[in-house]
This record gives sequence, structure tokens and C-alpha cells, in this order.
Amino acid sequence: MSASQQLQEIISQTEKLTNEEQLKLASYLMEKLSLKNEASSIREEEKVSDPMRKLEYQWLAEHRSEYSGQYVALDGNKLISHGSNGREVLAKARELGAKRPYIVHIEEDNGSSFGGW
Amino acid sequence: MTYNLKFDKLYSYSMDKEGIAIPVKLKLGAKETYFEAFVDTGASYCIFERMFGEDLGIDIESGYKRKIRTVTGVFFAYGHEVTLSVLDYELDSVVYFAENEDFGRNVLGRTGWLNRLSIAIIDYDGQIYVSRYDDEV
Repeated sequence: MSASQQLQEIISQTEKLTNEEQLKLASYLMEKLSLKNEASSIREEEKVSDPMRKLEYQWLAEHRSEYSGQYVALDGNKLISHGSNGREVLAKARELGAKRPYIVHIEEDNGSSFGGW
Repeated sequence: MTYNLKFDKLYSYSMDKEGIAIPVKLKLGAKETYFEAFVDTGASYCIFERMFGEDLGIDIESGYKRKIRTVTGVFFAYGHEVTLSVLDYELDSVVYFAENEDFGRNVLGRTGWLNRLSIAIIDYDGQIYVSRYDDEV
């Protein structure tokens, strides 16, 4: 049975319920949906309010070596765009709808060290 | 004699990088841009790649032109007033955007950032303690 057939079956079963039972079911579903939205907005809030970008640095700890010498645009623990031209990487991230793309230039691992200016 | 300092906040930074790299947000009007920059106590100013100024809609060359000296030479950068947010502290500061497109380093220096905060760094542990300079802790 496909998902849409299953849904149709559930809907037809609800028609057998009393008004009171239908209200109870509706209330259960509304509560579940509202909890889901709340959880998702808390996750978004965490992303927005974290000044140290923990999710982005978790991603960098795991993938830094794969993007040596490149710019990466990250949104949380997701890579949005990457490449050697920072301007293009940022533009691509904006084009893809990232609201707060975090741009990091991963320095090339060529055995040299930064000595300051 | 011992000295005790108190700070409002403590952050841990990534030890994977060469340098103390921390997240920066620049804001101008409704526009915001986000990137990683290095704490540089030897830099006189906050200097960023020009693409971040342009992302805020700034005409880079319309700012105050400053010649910046380094050990190996000089380069030019342009100053613009923006809201600089680092480690939860928002400051209205003049920051500089490099003239050269190939300038690929972002630094948080003294004027406009370091001189507005009190900071202690325990680099061995990757920890940075911060307070606003004018806050009484």
C-alpha cells in the first residue's frame, strides 16, 4: 500500500469516530505539529545565537583537509559552497538562499607557517 | 604580588588553526556578512578582505584611505564605519577593507576592537576571556 493510500485509509477510519474522538485526534495532531515546529525553531535559534559557530567548527574539524587552499561557505554543519575564489563562494551561498553563510578560508597545507606581518 | 582580573564571558576557540580564529559579523543597515578572522594584537586596525565590505554594499574606495605597513612591504586599505560583532559584543567601529582583491587575511586588531574590550587568552587551553572595557565586572 502506498503512503497516499495509507493516508486515505486513515482518513476514512476517522470518519467512523464520534465527534468527541475526532476532536481528541485533532488536538493530538495539533500538539504534535506544534512541538515539532517549536523544536525546529529552537534549533534555528541555537544556530543564530551561537557566537562561536560550534556547528561550523565541528564540520571544519572533520573536513578541513579536504578543502585545503579553498574558501568554504557553511551554514551550521552544512557545506553550502566552496572554491578558490572567495567572492564567488559567497555569491553562490547567497544565491542558494543561505541566510547567514559563514565564510572560512582554509589555508593551504604546504608545510609553511604564517609568520605574521 | 599577584593581580586578579575578572571577565564576563569565556569562549573556547578551535585549536586546529594556525592562529586564534574567531567568528566575526559585520553589519551595515539591514545587511550582514559573516566570516572567520584572526586575533592580531600586533595589528593597529581591523582589516578585512574587500569582498566582505562589498557584500555589505560598501563602495570600498569611498572610505578613508590608509597606508598599512608590514614587515615585508605596504598595502592600502579603506576605513568604513560598521557594526562589528565578535563574541557577543557589538561595537560601532571603523574597520578597514583591503584595496587589493588578492588580500586573503582577516585580522582583528587594536583600534576599534581590542581597545574596546578587556581580553585574556590562555592559548594552551584555547580559551579567551572577554569583557567590554567600560563594563564593571
